[in-house]
Amino acid sequence: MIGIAFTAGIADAQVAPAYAGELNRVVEQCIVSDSSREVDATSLRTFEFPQTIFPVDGGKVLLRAYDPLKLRMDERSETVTVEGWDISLKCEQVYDLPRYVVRQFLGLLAKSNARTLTNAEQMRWLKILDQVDFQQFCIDRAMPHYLEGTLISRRLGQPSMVEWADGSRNSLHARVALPLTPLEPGDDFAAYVKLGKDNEVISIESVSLLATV
Amino acid sequence: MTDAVLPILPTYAAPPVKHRIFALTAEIPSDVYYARADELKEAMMAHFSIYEPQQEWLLNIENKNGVPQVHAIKPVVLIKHTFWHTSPDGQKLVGCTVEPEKISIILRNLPNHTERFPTLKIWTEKIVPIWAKLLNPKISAAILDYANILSRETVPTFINPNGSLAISELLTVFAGFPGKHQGIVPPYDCTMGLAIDQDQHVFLNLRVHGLPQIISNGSAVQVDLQALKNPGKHGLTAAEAIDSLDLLHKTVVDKFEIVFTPKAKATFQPKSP
Repeated sequence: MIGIAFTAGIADAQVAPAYAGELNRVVEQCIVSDSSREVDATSLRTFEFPQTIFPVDGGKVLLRAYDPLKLRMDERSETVTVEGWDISLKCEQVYDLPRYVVRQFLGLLAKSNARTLTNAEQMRWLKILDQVDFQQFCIDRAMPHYLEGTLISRRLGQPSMVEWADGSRNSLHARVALPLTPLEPGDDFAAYVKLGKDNEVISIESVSLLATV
Repeated sequence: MTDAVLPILPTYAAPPVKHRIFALTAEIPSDVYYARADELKEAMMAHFSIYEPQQEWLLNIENKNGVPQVHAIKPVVLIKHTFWHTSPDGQKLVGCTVEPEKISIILRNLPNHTERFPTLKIWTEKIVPIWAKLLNPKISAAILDYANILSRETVPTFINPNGSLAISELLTVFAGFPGKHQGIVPPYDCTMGLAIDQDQHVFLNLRVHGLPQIISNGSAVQVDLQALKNPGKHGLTAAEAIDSLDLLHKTVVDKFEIVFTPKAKATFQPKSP
């Protein structure tokens, strides 16, 4: 039995711009034999780290891996290497792996933003971006935007309607619209607004009433 | 077991207890658990002096018709966060282990130390609310586990000249074994569950098993008395789980009195109530 695997072509690797939503990369196709029924020593030395969620900023933001990280153990040196992350640790330090993962990620992110990644770091950064939900991370970590708008309607327990200064309208979940409670329909306001996927309003804070002059 | 909360039962100055553990199993969303892991560690270290993470490297080998085979589930490494409070003489006395779906409060029975169930209760009342407040767990069961070790160190008068343990003189469940035999020899591994109070969802697991290692030139047997409250889908609040501790303790103490023979209990140095 054979399986088909798609792996990233090294020649096509490019540095992903920070906060890019998706990566467009050419992949090459290779065929690997299904060796799942065979037992070799390598399989017994590769461990999964079941934690796929890594806290950043004291847990306010989470870095989410799509799959458990793979740890390759070297008995001789009693170290483990995290596949695709270029992290090596003594086996006895594995409990601290979440901190090393976040440290590696933030370090490469900072260099990516500053466009100072070396070739080797670019490769590593791409491999890491393949393994984590970078888009969600960026959304969660983005600073709120200053926006001005007008409250169109608000009823207790019901979604509220808001029209923003650019003319677009949003229906806000009652919980999200809670900071708008003091406002009456027709009031103009300014606020710091956090946006999610598809510009969905996730939270509103620091609401101020724009006085009619 | 020297527990002042149960005056009608005798208490003992030298029970064979190795450790007492109160554990809560719970459902905690993984994003909550991992997001709060550092915060939890900080909160725990306000009460404990040692942080000692434990790592378990699991190979997932299963036995198929006597042949060991690698399981389809890949090998994993699991992390348990363990915290210790030390006694004035520097020994690890009270511990707390936090796992993704479990918390355990551990009281070790140290030689020349008098801390017993009330100490475990005090620490439970102190630590469980912190864990519950941070992780908002859906608690499924409360478990009180007493591990007793029978060996030359704890029951020296029950060691035969050949180093074996006179198990039938120690445990009532072995005392009346029918038929003719010269003695009971290892391996021992007997497990049973008792429904104590089904209305209150209280059960007791009793396990008697021989330990593979030799202790003080003699064989050793572990007797686990594990009382649990498992209310099924209703679950327990943190307050209910803590409240269940006395009932679980009573269950363990009741069965301790029944499981050990009067001759064995006499060596545990009974104290007058």
